[in-house]
Amino acid sequence: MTQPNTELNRSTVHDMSPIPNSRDRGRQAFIFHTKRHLGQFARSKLQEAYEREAADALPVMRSQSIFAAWSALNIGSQQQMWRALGDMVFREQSRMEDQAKAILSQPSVGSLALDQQLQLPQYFTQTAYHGQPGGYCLSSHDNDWFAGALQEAGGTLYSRGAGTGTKDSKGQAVVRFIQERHPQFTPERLVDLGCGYGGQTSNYVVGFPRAEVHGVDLGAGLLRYAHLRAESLGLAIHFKQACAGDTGFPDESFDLVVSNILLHEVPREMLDAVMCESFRLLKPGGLVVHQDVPTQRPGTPAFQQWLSDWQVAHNDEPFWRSFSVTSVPDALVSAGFSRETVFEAYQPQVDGPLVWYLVGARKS
Amino acid sequence: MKDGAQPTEKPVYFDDPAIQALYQMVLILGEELAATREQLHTLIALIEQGKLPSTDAIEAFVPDASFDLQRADWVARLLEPLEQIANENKQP
Repeated sequence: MTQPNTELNRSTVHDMSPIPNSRDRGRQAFIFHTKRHLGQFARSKLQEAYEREAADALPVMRSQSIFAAWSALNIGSQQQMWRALGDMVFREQSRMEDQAKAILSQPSVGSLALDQQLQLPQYFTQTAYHGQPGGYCLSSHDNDWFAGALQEAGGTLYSRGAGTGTKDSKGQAVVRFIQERHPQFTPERLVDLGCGYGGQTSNYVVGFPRAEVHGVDLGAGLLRYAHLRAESLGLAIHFKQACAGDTGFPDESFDLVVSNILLHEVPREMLDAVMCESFRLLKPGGLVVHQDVPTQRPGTPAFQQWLSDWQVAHNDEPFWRSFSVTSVPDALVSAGFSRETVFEAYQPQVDGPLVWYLVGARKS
Repeated sequence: MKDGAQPTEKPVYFDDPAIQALYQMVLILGEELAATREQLHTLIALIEQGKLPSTDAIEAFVPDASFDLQRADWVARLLEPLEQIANENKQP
């Protein structure tokens, strides 16, 4: 078993990590450099062309060869990314299954509770987020962890290609924010809603070592992998298959409710349900912090907005647009939080060019 | 969910869809060539170190940072025509 690590970041290797061979390494490096180059090209030549045309509508851009070529290459690189990573995980499957058996044969520090009767919402079963083959809902047999392995590998390579370094972590950004704004706040029990493969959840174990940490997600394939990953890292996390808007935990049973990159991946009615559930789960004095993409940051340049719209149109992000016009503070107030406790913040990455959006409230 | 969700169809940016398919083919070729370059670099490095290029030795080899710069340069050369298109678009 890997030892617990105080520096859990995007380069963290654990017993369930697929091991790339030399061909995988070459393929993934090619995709990384292609994505990095296309990103730099977008921020220079594409932006110049955009501003020259003073265009702000996708159909206008589509008529120009430069946007067509860049778009075709960007679409292609994303498809190639999933193919390369899928090939690696398929090839590694047998070894990883042996690893899973070895991990599960040891005494566990956390737990996994799947619900075979859970009715998965249609939006979840029909969305292949970011083009991930099978989506987050893929679970073809009782031991299937493939979706989680692919989500971790894809998230890591995609983020590196977008310029995010290995030291940055969304979960760490939330922990830092809480420690800076609420230095006396020491949660005893926290839950990560929409935890996926558990990468961010791990950071809450490290950030709040005295807390009992729970993770909730709809995807059984994500959670099986999350459990194996956490166990291999020696991190006590209790994973539960449930909807983030209806977790089944008792009222007022948590001091801290968090989510990472969940809100832009759910329809508006689910976002409202997540806010209501956050309020219901929190004890008085408890804190909720949701972290997401900064779609509404004041002063966002028009070209940056165009790039965001491109992602919506091409990267299987069907709820990004509704998120970008939703007032999360209003949704928190509608859920029961007092307006004066609601906050918004923009937190720069520690190792990358992006800024994260943090929004939350404290329960009176 | 046994089969899971499938990605949506992506927009086609050219009057002739075959052109977009060609871009995809170029990327596939580029990726395959990158994998071959990786292995060739490894083989040469092992031989230069006087080591037998066994499968274990190949898979254990870690390229140095200078090779990553070569990878980046090669991708930049492959994508250089994009710059040409951008410059032609600038012409009045």
